[in-house]
Amino acid sequence: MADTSRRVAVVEGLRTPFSKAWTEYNHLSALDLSRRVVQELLERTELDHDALDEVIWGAVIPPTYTPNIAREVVLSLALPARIPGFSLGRACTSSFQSVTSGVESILAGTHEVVIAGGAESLSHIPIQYSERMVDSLLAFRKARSVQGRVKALSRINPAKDLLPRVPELAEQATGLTMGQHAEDMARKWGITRKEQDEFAVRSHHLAAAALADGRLTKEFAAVFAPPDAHPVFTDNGVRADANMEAMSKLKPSFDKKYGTLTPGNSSPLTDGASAVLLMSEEKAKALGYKPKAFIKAWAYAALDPNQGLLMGPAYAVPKVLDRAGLTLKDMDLVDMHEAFAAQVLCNLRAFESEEFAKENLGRDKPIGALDMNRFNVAGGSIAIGHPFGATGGRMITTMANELQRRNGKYALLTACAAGAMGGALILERN
Amino acid sequence: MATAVQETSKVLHVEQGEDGVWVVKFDVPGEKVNTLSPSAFDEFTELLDRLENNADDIRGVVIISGKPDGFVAGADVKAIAALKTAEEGELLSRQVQEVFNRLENLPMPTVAAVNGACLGGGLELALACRYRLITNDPGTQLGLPEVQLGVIPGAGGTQRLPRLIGLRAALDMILTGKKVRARSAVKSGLAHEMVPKEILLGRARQIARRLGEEAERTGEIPIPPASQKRVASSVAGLLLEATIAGRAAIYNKAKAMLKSRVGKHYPAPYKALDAVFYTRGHSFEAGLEYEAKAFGELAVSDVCRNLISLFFATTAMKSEKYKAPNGSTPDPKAVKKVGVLGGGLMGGGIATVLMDKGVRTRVKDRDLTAASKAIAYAERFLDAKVKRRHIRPYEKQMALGLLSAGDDFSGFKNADVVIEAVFEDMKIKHGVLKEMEAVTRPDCIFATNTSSLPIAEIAKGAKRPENVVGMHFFSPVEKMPLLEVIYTPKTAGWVTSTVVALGKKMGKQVIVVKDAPGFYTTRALGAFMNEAIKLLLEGCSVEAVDKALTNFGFPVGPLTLMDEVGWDVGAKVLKTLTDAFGDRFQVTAEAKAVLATGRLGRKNGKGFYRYDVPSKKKAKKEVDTSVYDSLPGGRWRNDQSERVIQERCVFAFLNEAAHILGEGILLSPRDGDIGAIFGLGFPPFLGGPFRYMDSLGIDKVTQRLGELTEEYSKSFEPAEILVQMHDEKRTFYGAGAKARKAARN
Repeated sequence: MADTSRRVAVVEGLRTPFSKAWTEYNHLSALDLSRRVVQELLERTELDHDALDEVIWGAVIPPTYTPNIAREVVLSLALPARIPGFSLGRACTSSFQSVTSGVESILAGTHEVVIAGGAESLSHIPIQYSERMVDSLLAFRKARSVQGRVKALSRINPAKDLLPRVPELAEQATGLTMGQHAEDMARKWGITRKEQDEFAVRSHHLAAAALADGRLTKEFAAVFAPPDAHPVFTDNGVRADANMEAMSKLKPSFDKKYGTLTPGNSSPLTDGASAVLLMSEEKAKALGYKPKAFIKAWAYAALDPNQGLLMGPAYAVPKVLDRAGLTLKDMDLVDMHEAFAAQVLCNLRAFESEEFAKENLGRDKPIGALDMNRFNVAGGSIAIGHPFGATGGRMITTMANELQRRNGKYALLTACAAGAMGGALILERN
Repeated sequence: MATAVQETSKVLHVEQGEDGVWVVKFDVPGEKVNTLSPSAFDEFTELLDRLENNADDIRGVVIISGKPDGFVAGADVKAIAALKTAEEGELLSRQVQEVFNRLENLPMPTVAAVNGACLGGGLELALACRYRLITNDPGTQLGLPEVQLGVIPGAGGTQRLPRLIGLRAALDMILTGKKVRARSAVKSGLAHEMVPKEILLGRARQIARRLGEEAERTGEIPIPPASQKRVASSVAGLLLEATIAGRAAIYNKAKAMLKSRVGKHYPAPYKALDAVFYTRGHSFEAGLEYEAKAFGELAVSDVCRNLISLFFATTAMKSEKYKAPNGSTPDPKAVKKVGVLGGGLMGGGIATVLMDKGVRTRVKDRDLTAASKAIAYAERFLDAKVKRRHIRPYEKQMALGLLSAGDDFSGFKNADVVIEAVFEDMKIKHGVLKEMEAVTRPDCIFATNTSSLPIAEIAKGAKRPENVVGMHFFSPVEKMPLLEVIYTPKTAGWVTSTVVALGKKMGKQVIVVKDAPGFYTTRALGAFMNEAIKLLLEGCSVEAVDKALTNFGFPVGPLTLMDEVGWDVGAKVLKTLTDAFGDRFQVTAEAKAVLATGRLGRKNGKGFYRYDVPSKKKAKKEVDTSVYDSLPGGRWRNDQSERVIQERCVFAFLNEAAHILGEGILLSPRDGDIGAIFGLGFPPFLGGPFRYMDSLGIDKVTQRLGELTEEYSKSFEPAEILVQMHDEKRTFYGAGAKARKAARN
């Protein structure tokens, strides 16, 4: 699929601290967070701005006034105006996609240096009015007479239409929210509440340890937030004191009666941005950079949403392993996005299941069992948070650093995505 | 559509259109901006003759500039400087008024098509036209800045403007010299219409033709209505101006404002106020006579002459190339990125100004909280601009894109200049220099922002001392207009040249001085403050000392200033100066005792003044009388006369400035005057310490210094240079300048 003589290097990656929605970044848009992380990435790497060919950005719910964040980042940082930028969406794998799109353009030889990343500000999701409200307002604007205007407005039902609606993240194809799908999956794979809670506590403890020893903090581009540009320099969702007692007290979120998914074992709504500096291997060498890792292979997969909306990783992982010619055993590290503890545990079960492999993947053998000591070693989205468009960039940066720190060779990264998709990517160090 | 007619004149180029509209292009050859020189007026007179003689063939006239970004920037200041008597000045004013009267009374419509600066005589020219069409370009500014040069508008401006836009709006412009931008000019009725600059001429022609056609039909030139917005929005204001009581209230309010803001040393704004009020109850002609007389009187006053020489000096310095001590003119290197060490008041201010002028800037401080102060500083600065509608919110975001902050040296490798603004301590400065040299490129300049530490001493630990230079900024950086650049014997010429260029880019008046303890500004100020402290020890009260010097023309008194800079800083500076220059700065044991009482000034809320009482607007600061308890004489004060206080402090300043020039630290008296006025608040109407000494007479200065030496202390012993100049009958700006230059070369 690619020119094998060429490799794409991850030179550096950074992210803003992730903050739960409606906490630290209330007055900062996804664009503000994006330009901050790119600004800091450029300062840390001291990249000659003239060397930059493109900015690619992922966002699931981009601000309506700046749908193309990538280009706005270039302009608002006064980077050379000739640098174009485009923004894209592949749900929760959006910044996997922005990175792999960057990789593809470098492998194709069209670019040498790309900044890829993504952002989300769930504090700023667009608030919508009902369709009837919108129709009435448009009719009001078009109306030429007072009578016409009154008529247009009279169609509004004050009780139903005046309150704006926060958009629900329901699947168009199934009508169910992601949480409801995850509940279904948990039931199908027999994942208990206790297993989920234990996994969530694990996520918090590992993330807290990685923050405490500086592994995660060095990936931060501190954000200077209003008021008074005070620096935000850590994630605010991670709890070192997470424990089973508190976790088990939480009430289920999606299925109030029989459910097992709670706010504690699900990833929170989060604001944040991440960015990765990609270069062709030769360019990195020419500019004197020491790559942290190379992008070895990547794959996206999809399935019928009714067959387990968040099972994407179990489909994408075998694909990427095949492409790289590697097996799960070759991996020094495996990192899976934690939308819900239930989703992670379901996928891990599927990895081990011969039946799943045969029925769903058309393979004789299962993907394999995981060594949990190599899995999500710095915590995951449950603790750290999940700004949809930024999570992929966060994972790539953390794994590249961790691979380097452990002197490992391969890391496998995977994430599920809305629409019943999955993405996977393998980092390599030589 | 137009037939160009060859013209013999140099400034005005006339193009007769087939549509009957004559376009007059104002274009002073060989100059970047148009000014109204006497020769331009001669041409104007000829033009008026032609227009009057051909009235039947001319439908309308458009006056436009041939310069791409300016209309007419004002009168030729040299012509004002050349005036010898008040009568000459009055006559000049009358002549110009006459030209503009003829312009105003032309039998065809006239349209001023204005893009860019339209100031002083330029605006008065536009005011004499029937219609003012302006562009919405950000560079389009209209104003009457004459008072800033110590005169008043002398070409009808004080009479036409109030009649056009009302008393209050006119006073707002004339008394302060404030420039207004296009949008508010249209809003106030000063201009009729605002258009994009690309269609300025086309639209102007159209208006001239339309008004001309109407005049042909009706036999009368229509008077285009002023902005309707204004009429609708300020009915109450118009009523105020229409009544005698209302006008009296406006007059008194304006006068009170002048008293508190301008003080008593600048007569021009007061004269301008009276001239503007002459528009009520007097004929236009009588008003012009009043204006011309006032103009003539003011134009030959010392204040005006000093302000004009200051104007020439600052204008010259802006375009001047840096000249190294060895006579070479090294080119400055391009500065794309600056690193700033320290995010505090100085560092934050420096970073903010750099960002504002489009220079990418990275701030480093010991932790992110400290570094974030610089971002907060910039945001406050930009928020204020947004609030005043000088910029739009998106422009704030764009500006902030250039500024970032961190707690390590990342982002410094591609810095062209690093400016340190860390604590004033030699050890700390050596530390950051060493750290910075380790991470930056070999050609990166290390500029140290210090008010008194010798630069050579800071450079001692440097691997690359040729890259070390001093940049002495004044606080608050975004407001204070001076930058003192200090070079050491080792500083490379291109290094000095580059920071001078950077300072100019930051919008500063830049003076370059040789490295020595206290450089120029700190040392001269030290002498001044030291004398103030002596007066205090001898029994004067705090308010007497400060008041004497604000009455002299300083913006704040020396003791207020001491509170602002901090007593600890003051004590440190005086010690540095004493170590270097001995007796002149010798702080007595009593003074030392006072300085060591733990008072630090405003920063710890304890100084000569009280900072614990909630500050009411306009309320006067209260002296903290407990400060007297540690002074000889206690609370019982025995003031000296205002004259004595003024003389002692000012002569200490003057004598020290002369020492500094004599020692070759200052390269010219002009730099000394600029530095004192823009950095230390030396009264601009006196022209600076050196001009002031010239005007007092060097003989008088040395004589008085001798007397003060006898009476008070040896520190008044006249500087050697003064004695020499006295013997050779030289002055700083006259023959002295050349002789000194010859002596140096």
